[in-house]
Amino acid sequence: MRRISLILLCLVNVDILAETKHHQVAITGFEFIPKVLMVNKGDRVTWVNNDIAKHNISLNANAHPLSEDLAKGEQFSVLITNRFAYLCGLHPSMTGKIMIESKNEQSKSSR
Amino acid sequence: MTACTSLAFVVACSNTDQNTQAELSDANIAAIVVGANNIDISAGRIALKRSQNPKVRKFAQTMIDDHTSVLNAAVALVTRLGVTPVNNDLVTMLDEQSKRHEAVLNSLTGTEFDKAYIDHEVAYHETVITVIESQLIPGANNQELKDTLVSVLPAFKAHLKHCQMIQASQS
Repeated sequence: MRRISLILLCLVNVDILAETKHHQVAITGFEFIPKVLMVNKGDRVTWVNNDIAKHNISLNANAHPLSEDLAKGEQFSVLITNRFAYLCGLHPSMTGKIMIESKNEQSKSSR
Repeated sequence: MTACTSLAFVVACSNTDQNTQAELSDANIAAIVVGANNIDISAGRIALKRSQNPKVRKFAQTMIDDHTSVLNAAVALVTRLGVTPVNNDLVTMLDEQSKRHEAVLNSLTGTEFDKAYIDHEVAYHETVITVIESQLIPGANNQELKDTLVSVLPAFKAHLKHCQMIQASQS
C-alpha cells in the first residue's frame, strides 16, 4: 500500500512538473511587456525590471505592493493561482493583467 | 503670469527662436537635461516638506527618485563623452521660471499647496516632453546622447499621466 502511494505521489509530481511553465514579464520603457499574459494555474511568472527607475508590482495604488521596489536588473516571481490585474504602485499609469487560460482551467477543475 | 502660462511661454520662446534651435549643441542639451531634472527634484523636496497629502507626497518622492536616476545616468554619459554642460537661453528661462514657482510654493500650505504643486507638475512635464521631442532628440549630435533622450521619454510621459490622475482627483 505504501509503495502504491509513493508511485501515485511521483506521478502527481511528474504531472505538475510537466504542466508548470515559467513566464517572464519585462518592465521596459515604463510598460509591462506583455501587458496581458495568459497562463495556466500553477505557472510561475517573473517580472524583470530593465528601467533605470524603480518599479513594483501592486494590486492597486493604495495597497501594500506584492513586491519590493525593484531596481534595474532585479526581479520578482510569483506562483499564479488566480487571474488578477496589477499596476506599478510608483507609476500607476503602468498596468498589466495575468489571465488564466480558460481551457486549462476547465480541464483541471474536472479532475 | 501663472505657472502654466509661463511654462508655455518658455516653450513658445524656444520654438520660435530659430537661432536657439539651430545652435543647440550637445553641451546645451546636457545642460537642459541636468537643469530640467534638478528643477523637479527641488520641487519634490518642497512638496515633502509642505504637503500632508499621502498621494502628493508619494508622487513627490517618486519624482525625486526617478529624476535623480535620470540625472545620474545623464551626468555619467556626458562625463564619459567628455561633454561639459553649457547653459543657453532655454536653461536660463527654465531656471528663472522655476525660482518664481518655488517662491509661490513656499508661500502656500494645505490643499492650496497641493493644487499649485500638482498643476505645475502637469505643465512642467508637458513642457519637458515637448522640448525633448521637438528639440533635444532632433538636435542631439552624439548617437548615445540621442538614444538616452529617447529612453528617458517614457519616464516623463508616465510622470505626466500620474500627476494628471492626481489632478483629476483634486477637482
